[in-house]
Amino acid sequence: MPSPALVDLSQASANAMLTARTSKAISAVLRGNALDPRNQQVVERAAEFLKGVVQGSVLVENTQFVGVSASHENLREFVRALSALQSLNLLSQNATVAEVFSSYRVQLLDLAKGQQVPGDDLQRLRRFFSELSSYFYSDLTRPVSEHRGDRLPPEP
Amino acid sequence: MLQKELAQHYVLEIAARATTVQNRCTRLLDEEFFSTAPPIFARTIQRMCAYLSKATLAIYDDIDWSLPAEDIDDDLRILQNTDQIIKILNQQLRYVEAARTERLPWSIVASFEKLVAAFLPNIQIMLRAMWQYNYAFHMLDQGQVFRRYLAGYHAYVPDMELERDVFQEMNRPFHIISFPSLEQKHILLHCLLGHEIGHLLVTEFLTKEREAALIDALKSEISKLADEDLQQLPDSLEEEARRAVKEALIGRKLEEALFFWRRALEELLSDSAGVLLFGPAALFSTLDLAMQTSLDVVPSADTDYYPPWRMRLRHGLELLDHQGGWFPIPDDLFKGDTERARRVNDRVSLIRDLAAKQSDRFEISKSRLAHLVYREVAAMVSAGNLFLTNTKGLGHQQATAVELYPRLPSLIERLDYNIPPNAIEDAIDPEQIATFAEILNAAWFKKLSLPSFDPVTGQFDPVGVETRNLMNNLTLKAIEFAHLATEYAEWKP
Repeated sequence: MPSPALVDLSQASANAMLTARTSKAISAVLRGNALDPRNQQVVERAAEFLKGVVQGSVLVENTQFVGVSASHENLREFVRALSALQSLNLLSQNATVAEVFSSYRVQLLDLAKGQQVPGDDLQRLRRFFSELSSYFYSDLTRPVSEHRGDRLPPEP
Repeated sequence: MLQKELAQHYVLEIAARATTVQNRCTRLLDEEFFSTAPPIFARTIQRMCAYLSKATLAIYDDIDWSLPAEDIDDDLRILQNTDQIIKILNQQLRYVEAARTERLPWSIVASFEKLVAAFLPNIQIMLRAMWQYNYAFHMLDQGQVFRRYLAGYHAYVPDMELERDVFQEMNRPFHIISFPSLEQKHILLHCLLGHEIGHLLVTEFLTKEREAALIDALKSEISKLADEDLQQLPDSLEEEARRAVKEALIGRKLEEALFFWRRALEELLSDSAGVLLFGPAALFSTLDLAMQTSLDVVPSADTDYYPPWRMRLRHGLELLDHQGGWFPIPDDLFKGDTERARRVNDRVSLIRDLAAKQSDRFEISKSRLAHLVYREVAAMVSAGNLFLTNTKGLGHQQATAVELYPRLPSLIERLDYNIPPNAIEDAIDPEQIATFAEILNAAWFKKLSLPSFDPVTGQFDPVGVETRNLMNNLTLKAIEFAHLATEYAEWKP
């Protein structure tokens, strides 16, 4: 079976890289450093990445969300991001998953614009991106044969 | 300090691995290749490794060692990611190794590349043998994949431009086509390369808009499936956790549905392309591959979501019937030898019987998700066939019974006399060069018209394998000769 022909690891690699660099950039801010142009670009790209995640969550929740349309293009990223939220216990009773991701995105955009973001929020963001990076990295390092099984279990 | 020493050790190892891959590329580039694609692939990997090696040192230099250990975890992750890319690139050298001239059915490579260029002039393909027994088309443009790997590193290597310094040779879509090395000279099976051309054409049919339409059509039914799955969870689960699980289930099922749908249409429409290009030969090749396994294997992750073979045979046969004129094949193909024509028609009848059974559909209906998706696939196949014939121009290139059958008798006769069937020389007129499709069909009809075992004793004939191999070699040679003759005719000094 032509599994290597069907599995693209480059997106997982690019995501692992982006999320690790985002976590690193936020760490620098947490230590009191200003965002340099290089890290500003990273944070902007992370906000763009989260836009895709929000689009995936809007699709799955089947809801309307101001300024964001539903899209299936980043479903994999959405599923990984949701797993990161779950593992860090960052789910909220008062907000939908789409709202949580959207709030993260707004915080990143504020950060990129040089606006103040509360320390607790930054801590949460850093943990989220660090965790997400480990999910993408594990996608990258799994043997190709296991990616074939990276689907739902067979139905009964 | 210990961590810093470990990081230095790791950086040294990454750089060493990158150097090893570059050296392997150098050695591989000394080999003989029939096409320019494998050397381009190897040189690109070589440059990527040089780039990543440079990036590795920059990543190390960027680490602030005054920070606590947990604050440099991200840097280590970036180093690990870099290391992993180098390992993946090393694995991909196997494609180049298997694309050496000695591993290919080199007689057909030039003809095949020309056929691809007729439909997709801006695409580069690399044909390679693989140990695994399958034909496979890499849908992903390897150039895009390579670019994604390096996209995040520019900040670390600002003095290099990716397009100028790394990807200068990989400047058009690059696809890999794999075939089973065991069948290197099995030309009759290589009709399936027509199917692989189909993959290139079908990509443009499977648009984001069509995907979105599929999602719209299935969303509510998939949500119900997720609700049923949720009932298996304990009641004590908190509401937000339950909600998250449901969303994850829907997300994964939608992703799975898209995969089911894409794979089904990719394969079925690529089969259409094979049939349009090569006529009945494509159908006979499909049966040759299909009979090696069960006809009703349900598409799943374990089978890379291939649609069942029975469905594919049915699809190919329906398309040929729709074109009309192919079956039953006339006795004239064998200069009136009714017995030989009967044998070929028997094979067609066998395929018809296999296709008439509905057991594949029954198996698919056992998976509710697959059942839903295949309903949508069925509604899309006709539009896909129209796309291939009209939009992609296969309608002008397709093999038709009216044009092909009159040219086959003399080609089959040449094979009967162990002459490569590369030209039609029925009259004193200048010879006519046979096309790829004509040669393949002549070989298939000749093969099917004769018994596989000894016709007198009905027993296995020990020289049968040699006879079979001779016919394969004659056919391969015919494709090579026909290509050379065509090139010569087009050549202007």
